[in-house]
Amino acid sequence: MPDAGESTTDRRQKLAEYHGSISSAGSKNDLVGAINNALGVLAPVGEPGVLEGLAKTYRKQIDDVADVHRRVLKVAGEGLPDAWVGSTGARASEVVMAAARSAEQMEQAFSGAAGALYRLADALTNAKAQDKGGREQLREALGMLGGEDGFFDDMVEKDAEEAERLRARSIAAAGAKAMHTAAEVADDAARAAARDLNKLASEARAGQMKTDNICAADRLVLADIAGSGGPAEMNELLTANDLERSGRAMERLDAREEAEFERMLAEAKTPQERAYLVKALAAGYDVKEVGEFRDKIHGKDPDWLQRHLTPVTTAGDSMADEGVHSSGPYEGANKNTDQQMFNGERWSQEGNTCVPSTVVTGRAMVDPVYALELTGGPSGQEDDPGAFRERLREEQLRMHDEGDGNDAYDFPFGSTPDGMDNDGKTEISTKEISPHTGGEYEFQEIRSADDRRDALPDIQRAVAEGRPVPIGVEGEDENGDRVGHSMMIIGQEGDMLQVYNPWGTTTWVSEDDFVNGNMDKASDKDLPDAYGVHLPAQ
Amino acid sequence: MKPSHRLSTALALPLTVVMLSGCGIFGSETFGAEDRSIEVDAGDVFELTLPANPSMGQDWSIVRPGPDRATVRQEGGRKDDFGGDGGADGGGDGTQTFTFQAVAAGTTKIKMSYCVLGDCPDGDDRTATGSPGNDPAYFIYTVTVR
Repeated sequence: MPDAGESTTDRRQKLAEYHGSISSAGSKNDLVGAINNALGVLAPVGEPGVLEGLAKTYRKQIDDVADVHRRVLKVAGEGLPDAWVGSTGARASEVVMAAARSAEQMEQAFSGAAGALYRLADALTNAKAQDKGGREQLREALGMLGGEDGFFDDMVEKDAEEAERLRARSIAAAGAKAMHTAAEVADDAARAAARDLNKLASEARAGQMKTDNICAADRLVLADIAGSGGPAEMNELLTANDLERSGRAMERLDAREEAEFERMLAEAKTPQERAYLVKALAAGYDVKEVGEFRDKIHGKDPDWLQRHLTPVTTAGDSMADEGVHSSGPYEGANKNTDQQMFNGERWSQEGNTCVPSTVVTGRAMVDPVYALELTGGPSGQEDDPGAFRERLREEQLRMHDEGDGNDAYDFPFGSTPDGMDNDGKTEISTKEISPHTGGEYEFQEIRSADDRRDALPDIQRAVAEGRPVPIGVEGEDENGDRVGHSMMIIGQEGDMLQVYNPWGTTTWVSEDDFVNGNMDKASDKDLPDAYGVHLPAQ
Repeated sequence: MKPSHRLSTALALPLTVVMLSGCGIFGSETFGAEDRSIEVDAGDVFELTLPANPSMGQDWSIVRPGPDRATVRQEGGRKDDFGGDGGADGGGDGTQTFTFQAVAAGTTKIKMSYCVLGDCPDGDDRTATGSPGNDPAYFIYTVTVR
């Protein structure tokens, strides 16, 4: 008897295997063994009734939250005096608008969670019924076959016995197929529900900031601040992880540091300036370092802050499906791809440095102090794309060395980077990104569709929280020569993943694209398969 | 920057492809990205082998209408070779090779479009004077058939 599957993905894999064994079983004993293996796999687990009850509870909250939303909007419409300020200087109108948006998001979250649970309950009900039918067919087949043959029984098979065995095999194959389909339905539904609920949880952002050092109204405003380059809901400056880490950092401040940090927040000229100060604290810098950073960005307008401190902006139309290039140099690539630039110079690799270039951008996304060093130089005030390119190149080379990347020698001119293996990539991700987000990176090979499917929930949870996930993609030429490339998953909306390519571009691919070898949409036809992922520990 | 790393210098040099000009003794002559002036004899078959690492998105194509067919004619399609990266992402000596037949005495130009990092040159883009690097550009090869 095999081990019963532990996860929905395990069950799916095992039943695919046993369905194959049953369909190809060449003897009675092989068939009996394969049927018993399939019956040993657990039926889909979970109680649809419990899930529906939970969904109903969420649904009931929607009306209450909608009422709060309406009342807050009314207050926002009538206006408040500017004299009302929070302890960090967040103006009252900001607080009211943030509260309105928070109430609206809460309404959407309850609705989304209820929908996710109803869909899971429905899928589970169907999967259980289908699994049950499949098991009955397997048992019917076993009944037709009787017990396993002994050694001598197995030596001769009469025509009638063979016909009966083949009939039993046909019934058993249909049963196993039904069980496998049920397992697929349950697996897909479970992953979709986990994905949606994790995303909703990460979007309950203000609640992530657990500190008494900052009042509830200001927490609400901070969680709501977005950059200037795209729609607010796709460009929030503080991730769930930033809010959680900054809250913990504030709890550790002594009285003097706390007063100093509050002063910086209160004196911030824009909500965005305030958010970047909190992001710097979340990235692990102490109050003195945050103060130095503050001196460089104080009073800058939101566009300047966006350009210098946020490498990736998500455009409002970035998720529109415009199809892929059907021919030409970038065949297979999404047409809808955004270039990520600083003053016209892309956040892109130079030479064979895709791995360190991925990590440089990954760190710049989570560490605004580092981003400013690259864009604004030592003074933090530069706006020169050429100087930015020079600094970016030096950083790519520094991380190439740090990860012990390969070099190509070109005597007598020195050497140039020539790729990096996954050990090096894990090392630089952990050294460069982890100190600013928490959680060391670990490499996980995902060379099959099942492995990729299995990794998706962890990837989605990480990026929903604001931790970038470097991945490896690969392809082969007609001679079987392999080429690999580094990219990074940086966002998630529904079943779509936002991918950064160190060519200096971002685009969206679906979960199915990721699982089924269509990652060429984020690069081109030469690099279709995701084969590895570097996941941050929770 | 580490002294041994001279990336910008290297990008102005043959990065991955070792070209052996004038090796016609052993078959077709092979020219590289820097060989902008090519001299061959009528009847010769020659190759233009250009650096093309898929991880860089490097991609080459002949800009239409192509060279004067009375002087030089393309033979077959482009041959892609990833070169293999030994398991190190981003590494390797990928190339794309174009094969030509020198038809008759004369001079013509082969204009190549060099795409890189997901971007291609457009009609107004510059003609490259250096080696293929981070910027899309046109590379023009002057072929003299003796």
